[in-house]
Amino acid sequence: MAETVIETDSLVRRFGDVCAVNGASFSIGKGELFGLLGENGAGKSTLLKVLTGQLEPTSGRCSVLGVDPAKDPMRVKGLIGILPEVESPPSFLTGREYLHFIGLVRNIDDIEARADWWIDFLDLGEVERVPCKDLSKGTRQKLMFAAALIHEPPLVFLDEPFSGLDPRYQKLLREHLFNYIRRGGTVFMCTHILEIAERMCSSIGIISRGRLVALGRPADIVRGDEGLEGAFMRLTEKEGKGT
Amino acid sequence: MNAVVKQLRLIRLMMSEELRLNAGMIGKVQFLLFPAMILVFSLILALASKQLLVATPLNQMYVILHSLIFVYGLGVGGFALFGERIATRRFGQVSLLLQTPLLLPVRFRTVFLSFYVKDIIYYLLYTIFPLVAGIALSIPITGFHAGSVLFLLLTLSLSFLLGISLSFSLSSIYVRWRRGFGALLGVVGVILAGAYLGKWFDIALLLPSLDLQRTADPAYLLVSAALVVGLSAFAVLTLKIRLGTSTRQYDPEMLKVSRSFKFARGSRDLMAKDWIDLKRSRTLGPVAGAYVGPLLFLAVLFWFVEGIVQVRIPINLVFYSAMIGFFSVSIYGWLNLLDAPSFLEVLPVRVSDMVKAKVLMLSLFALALSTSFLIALGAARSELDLLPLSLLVGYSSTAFMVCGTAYLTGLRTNSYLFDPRVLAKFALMTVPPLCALVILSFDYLNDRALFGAIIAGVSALLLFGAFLLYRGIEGRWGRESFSF
Repeated sequence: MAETVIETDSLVRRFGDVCAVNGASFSIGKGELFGLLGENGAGKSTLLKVLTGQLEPTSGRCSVLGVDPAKDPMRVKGLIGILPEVESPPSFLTGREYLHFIGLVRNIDDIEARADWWIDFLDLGEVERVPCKDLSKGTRQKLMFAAALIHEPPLVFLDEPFSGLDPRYQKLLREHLFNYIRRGGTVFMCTHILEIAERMCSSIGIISRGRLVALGRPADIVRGDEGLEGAFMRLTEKEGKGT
Repeated sequence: MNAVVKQLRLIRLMMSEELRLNAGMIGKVQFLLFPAMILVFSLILALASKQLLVATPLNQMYVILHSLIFVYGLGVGGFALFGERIATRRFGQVSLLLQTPLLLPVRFRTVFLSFYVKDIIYYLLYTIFPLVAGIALSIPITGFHAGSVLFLLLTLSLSFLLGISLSFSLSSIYVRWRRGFGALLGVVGVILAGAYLGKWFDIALLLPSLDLQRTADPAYLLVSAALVVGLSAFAVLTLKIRLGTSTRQYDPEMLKVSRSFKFARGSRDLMAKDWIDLKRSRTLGPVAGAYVGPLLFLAVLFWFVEGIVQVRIPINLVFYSAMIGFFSVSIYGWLNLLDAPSFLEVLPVRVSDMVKAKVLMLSLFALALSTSFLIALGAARSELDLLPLSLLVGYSSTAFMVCGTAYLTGLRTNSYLFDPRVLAKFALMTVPPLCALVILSFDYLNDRALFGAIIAGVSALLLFGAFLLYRGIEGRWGRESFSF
C-alpha cells in the first residue's frame, strides 16, 4: 500500500455559525492526483487552507507529510507547494524576481537555474522584466504555478490551477503534473471543472455544504453511464433544486 | 440626465472616494491634522503680522505668499504624468472611479475633467481655505478687515488655480510631444531665472492674481479666470493616458539587494522586497518627506517664532530629537501600504517575520534621515555640542515608537489605530516617555550634567523597552494571517 501523505480525522472548520468543513475524514497516498470537487462555496478552498496551515481547524485532526499543520504550519508550508485560488504575486517584483524571492525564502541553492528553466518552459521570457502588477491574469497564474513547484516539493496543493490559462498552457501544465506524479510527487487539487478532474485525477472527493459526500476512484463514484457530471449533480443535489 | 448634473454627481462621488482613500492611507487623525496645522501656522503668522511687516513690506509679503501658492499649484498639477499612478496606486489592482472608462460607456475626458475639478476642490479645502481661515481667526486681535481677508482668499485661490492649470497643461504637452519638451522648458526656466535674478522685469507681472491683489483691478480677475479656464481646457483636450498598463521594465535585482541586506540575516529577503517596492512604487520620496517634512516645519515655525516674533522658547536640538520618534509612526504606516502581502500566506513566512523586516527597514531609514537632519539642524542652530545626546534621544525614541507601533498594529497600522483599545494602549505606552523627554529637553541647558544624565537614562529605558517589544512581535503576530 502507498505511503500516506495526507490524513484527516473528523476535521471541522467553522466561521461563526457557518460550518465550512464538516467532519472530513480521508487519506491520500503518495503518487495520487487527488481532485476535490464541489459547488461554489462548498468548502474546497477552506479544506485546502486547513491542510496547508493557512487556517486552524475548529476541531478534528490532520497530518500532512507526517506533520500537523495546526501545530507547525511553517514546517508544513516549507515542505509543500501551494498554488492559491487568487493569483496575487507581489506587485512591484518582476516575474523573474518573484521566482528569485521564492528561492531565497525557501533556501533553494540553484534558484537562478530553476528560474531560467521555468521562464523558458512557460514562455515568460518576454515579460520576465515586467512588474507582476502589469502582467495579464494568465501570465500571473503561470508564475504562481512555477512558484508552487519550483522547489520540487513531494506534495503540492493546487486551487483552481488552470484558471485563466489558455488551452496550450493547460495542456503543458497537465503534462508537467503527470510527469511530476511519475517522479513520485502527489497532487491535491481543488477544481469545479469536472472535465479536468475526469481527465486527470486518480482519486476524487466531492464536497457539498462542507461535508464530503463521495470519495474514491472516479469509476467507483460514477453509476452507469451518468458520467462524472451526472454523479456530481446527484451527490450535490439540493432540496427542491434537483435536476 | 443632464450632462452637467452627471458631471456634478461624478465630482461628488470622486470627492468621497478621495477622502476615504486618504483617510485610509494616512489615517483619519493625521488626515485632519494637516489642515489644522496650516490653520495654526497662518494664525501665528497673522498674529505676528505687525512685527513681520517691519522686516518685510506688505507688497513683498504678497509676492512671497502668492509665489509659494503658485509653486504649490504647479507641484500638484502634473496630472498627465501621474494619471496612471493614481489609477494603479497601492495594490496595482485598486479600482478608482477614474478607471470607469475601461468598463463603462463613458468618455475618459469626461471622467478626467471631474477628477481634475475634484482635485482642485480638495486642495482648496485642504490647504488654501485653512491658510486663510487662520488669518480670519486673528481678526478680533489684529483688526484685519474681513473684506480684505475674503479678497485674499480669492486671489490666493486664483494663484493656486493658475499654478495647477499651467502644470496640468505642461504635463499634457510633455506626454504627447515628449521630444524637445525638456530642452524647451529648460530654456524658458533659465530665461525666467535670469529675469528674476537680473531684475530685468518684475516677475510678479507673470501672475495676474498677484496684480489683482495689489491693484484690485477687475481686469486682472478676468485675465486670471480666462487663463485658468483656457489652460485647463487645453490640458483636458490634449490629455493622453493609457490606463492599467505600464511599459516599464526592470533588470532583476532581488538577489543582489538581498545580499546587500545580509546583515539583517533572517529578515534580509523581506527587507529586499520592501526596498524594491519602495523604489518602484516611487514612495521613497513621499516617505522621506513624511518624516523630514514635519520636522522641517517645526524647525521653520520655531525659527520664525524666535527670530521674527522674538518670543523666547527654551527649545534646543534635544527637543527636535525627541520629536523624531513621533513622526516615525507615519513611515511605518506607509511601509504597510506598499503592497498586499497576501501572497506570503502560502510560503513559510510568518506575519511576525514581515513586521520585523519592516521595523528594521524603517530603522535604517530613520537612522539615515534623523542623523542627517540632526547634524544639519545642529549646525544651523550652532548646537553641535548637543549632537551626541540628541542622536541617542532620536534613535531611542524612534526605536521605541516603531517597535511599539509594530507590536500593537502589525501590518494593519491605519486600521488598528482606529480601534479605541489599541489607540489607548498606544497612547499610554508612547506619550508619557516622549513627553518626559520633551519636557526634560527644555531644562537641559539649565543643568547639563543632571538633566543630561536623566535624559540618557530615559533613552536607555526606551531602548530596553524597544528591545522587549521587538522580541514580543513574534508572540503577538506569529500566528496571524496575512489575508484580510
